[in-house]
Amino acid sequence: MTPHKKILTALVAAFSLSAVVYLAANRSPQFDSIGNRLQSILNSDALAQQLPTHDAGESKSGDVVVELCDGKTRMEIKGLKPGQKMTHEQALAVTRALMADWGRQHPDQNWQMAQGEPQGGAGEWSDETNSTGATPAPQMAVPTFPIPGFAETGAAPAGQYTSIEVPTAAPTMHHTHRPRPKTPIATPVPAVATAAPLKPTASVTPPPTAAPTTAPTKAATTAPTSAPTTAPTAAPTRAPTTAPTGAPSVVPAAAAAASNAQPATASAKPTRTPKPTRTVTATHTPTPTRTRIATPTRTVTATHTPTATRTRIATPTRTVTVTHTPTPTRTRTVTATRTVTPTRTPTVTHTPTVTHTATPTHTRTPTPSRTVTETATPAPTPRNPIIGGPGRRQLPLQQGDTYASFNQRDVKIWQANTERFIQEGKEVFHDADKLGSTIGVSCDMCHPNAANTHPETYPKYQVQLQRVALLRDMIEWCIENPVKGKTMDPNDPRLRAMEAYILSQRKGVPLDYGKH
Amino acid sequence: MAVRHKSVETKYMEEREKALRGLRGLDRRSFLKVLGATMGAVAAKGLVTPHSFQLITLADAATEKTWSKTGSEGKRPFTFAYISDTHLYERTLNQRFVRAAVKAVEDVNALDPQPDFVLFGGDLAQLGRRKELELGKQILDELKAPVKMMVGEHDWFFDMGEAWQDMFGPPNYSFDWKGVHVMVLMSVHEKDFWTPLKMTPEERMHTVAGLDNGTQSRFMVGEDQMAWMEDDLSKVPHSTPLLIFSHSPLYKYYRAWNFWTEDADEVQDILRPYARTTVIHGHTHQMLFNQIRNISFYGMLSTAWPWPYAPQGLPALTVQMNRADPFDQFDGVGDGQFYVNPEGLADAIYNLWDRNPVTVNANYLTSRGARDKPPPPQFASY
Repeated sequence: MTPHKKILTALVAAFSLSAVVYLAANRSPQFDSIGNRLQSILNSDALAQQLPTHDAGESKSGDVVVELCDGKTRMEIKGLKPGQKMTHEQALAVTRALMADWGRQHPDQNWQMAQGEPQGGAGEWSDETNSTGATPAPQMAVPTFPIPGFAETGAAPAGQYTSIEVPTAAPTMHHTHRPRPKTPIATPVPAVATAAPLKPTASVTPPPTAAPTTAPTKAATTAPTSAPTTAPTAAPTRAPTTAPTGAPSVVPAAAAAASNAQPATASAKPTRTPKPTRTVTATHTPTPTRTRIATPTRTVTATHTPTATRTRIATPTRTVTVTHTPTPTRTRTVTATRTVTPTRTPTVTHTPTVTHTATPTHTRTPTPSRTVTETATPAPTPRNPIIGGPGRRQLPLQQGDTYASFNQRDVKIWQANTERFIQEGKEVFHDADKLGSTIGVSCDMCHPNAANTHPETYPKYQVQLQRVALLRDMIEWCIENPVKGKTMDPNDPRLRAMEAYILSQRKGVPLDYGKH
Repeated sequence: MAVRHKSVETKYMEEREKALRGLRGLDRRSFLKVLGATMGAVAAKGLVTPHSFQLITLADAATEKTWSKTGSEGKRPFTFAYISDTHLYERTLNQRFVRAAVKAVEDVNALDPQPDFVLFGGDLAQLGRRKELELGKQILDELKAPVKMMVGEHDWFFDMGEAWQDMFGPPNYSFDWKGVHVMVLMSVHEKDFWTPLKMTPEERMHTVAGLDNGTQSRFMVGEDQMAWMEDDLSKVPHSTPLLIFSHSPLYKYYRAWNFWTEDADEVQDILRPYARTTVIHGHTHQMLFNQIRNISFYGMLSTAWPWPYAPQGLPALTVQMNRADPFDQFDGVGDGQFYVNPEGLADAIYNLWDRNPVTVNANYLTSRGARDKPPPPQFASY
């Protein structure tokens, strides 16, 4: 950058800063209003919304379970442990499989539409907008699909999940640190040592990831697949460089793990250096690498286990089904739709779908039996059997249109726009110059707060004009006569804004067109 | 191209012009016909036409039957006229309000007998400029009767009353007139809202001029002036009738529009020992009546434009005037007259231009509406 440009940049920056300071010091109404507007938008609840998370649970084998936002459609990925990453293609395959599964369960619905609907009942939106009132996870069963890059393993274990095997060649996998029952790091070490005796450095990295809740034998089976890919590259190269600098910050953790590290050093000793000091550094160096990897993966894991959402969703959905089902006709219609689905899909490839889609409906059917018994008890009757009372989610909301799909953030933005428009109208209404008056007269001089404009009475026969007039006709007349200005085009933003302002001042007054 | 509709007012003016043109070439026979018809119309109405071709009933107030006869032999010690809220711009900018002010002066000058004095109720100017005040003074100088001036907020907040005081003297003063003690107050002081906001005089004036501009403060008489009132009244016996003029109502009607005096209660307390007290104010541009304990209040008309009644706080005794016709500049505006009886109580005549005047007897207020109720509106406000 040339010196001239530097000086120019500095001047512009100084000017901008002084302008902001000046505006703030003068407390200009414009400045305040802009600031307030921004503040209100930034403070909106909508911005504070977070993406929904789900606790998809985990399979018995400890493999990753992936779940859609509906809280129902899920799938176990065989061979993929928590914290490990899939390739882009593999992830896409899983996504497609999940969506295909969902599509089979909801043949008449569109995913975006369905997830865009409010689920709080009576049009309310909540943070769990996308997490529909799903039934608890264990009741679900989904079919399996062929996914490229994964080995399909057939039916889900324990009838819960679709299982997909991750190919053993999953190249870039990070080890996860799941908050599971603490297993001593020393435990897996012997297994690793036996599994990979030729590469002693591998004894350092695999333990934390390969420490499953299951028996150490299982860890022994998974360890060889993942350990050689990550551990050898990370451990030996980073050890000498990171150890001196990272040592002070890691000292407490390292000291705490000193007892656990002892067996590891024992295994590392013969291959590396016989000196005890070197072994100490060798045992210490893995620790920072471990913590580094663990920190990001922890956040990933956290998204999988928000227990709060689960409990929140679970409670209302049960009540919904309870209040819904008393009408026997409703359950009948549900079964009718079920029978339709198989007839529509006679193709061979779809036949497994039919059998599987039957499963969720079967799992739902137990609920009506419960509801029948509950409706028999007369005590908790809702205030309004259709919309009111505690069981307000009893009727399913209409879905599928974008017009009804909005949330509080949308509403706030719309309101802010409307208020700004009204404010513009207020400014014109109160300013003879903006109004185009040639005699210094503005509307507010006769109509403070737009009083005595009675917009709710239009259209009406305006005797003086000898015709039916709209509010804007009267505004135009006023501009032309007492204000002595030029009439405005019907699409003039000033006229439209003034109409908005006048109407806003009569909010709540019943429309009464034709009134005199 | 949309069809242009002529308003009734325009059509009327066209017909009037046509009739006047026709009169110029009138022969003797036609002239007598017109004369006869006119006389017949006047006779049928029973009164003369006051201001225009429209026949209206002029002032029942002018007849003996409507006067308060509480005094001995029904004598009226004095009368005065009231003109207020002319809101004049410079003559080059706005002729509309000038026409109205001139009309008021002509009205008062036409009174026979002439009133003892004319009270101008404030807001002579619109934006407080010296030229506006000079124009107002020039118009008011045409009045035959002596003029007593009162200041309004539109006269004050551009230069904080400097020009006004140069022309008309101190804003608050008192005098005795035929047994009645008269006080003229400056009731539109406001707490300093402009200094923290670093407003220019123009901005300050524009803020105060906006009736619904919530940035400004509320009107006040102020402690200094109340002390002056107490001092001034200390020499006046409690039996003396008081006649108080203030620009803003000395009670609390509607705060959002400054139809309000913040320290009105304290001022009323000062006036409480005086059994017969009448407060007459401008500012609200509408017919307003109120009675609070011993004090009768009259809110008077503007010559410039009428204001709608506020959505809240309307005094119960107020009988609203008919809704103003926006197509008629002189509807809902006007001037007034007062007749002060020997008891020191004042009867008011609201001289609404282009309408029948409305008389409000002091008995109506002192009896809390039990007697002499004014005629109700035919076309009340929304």
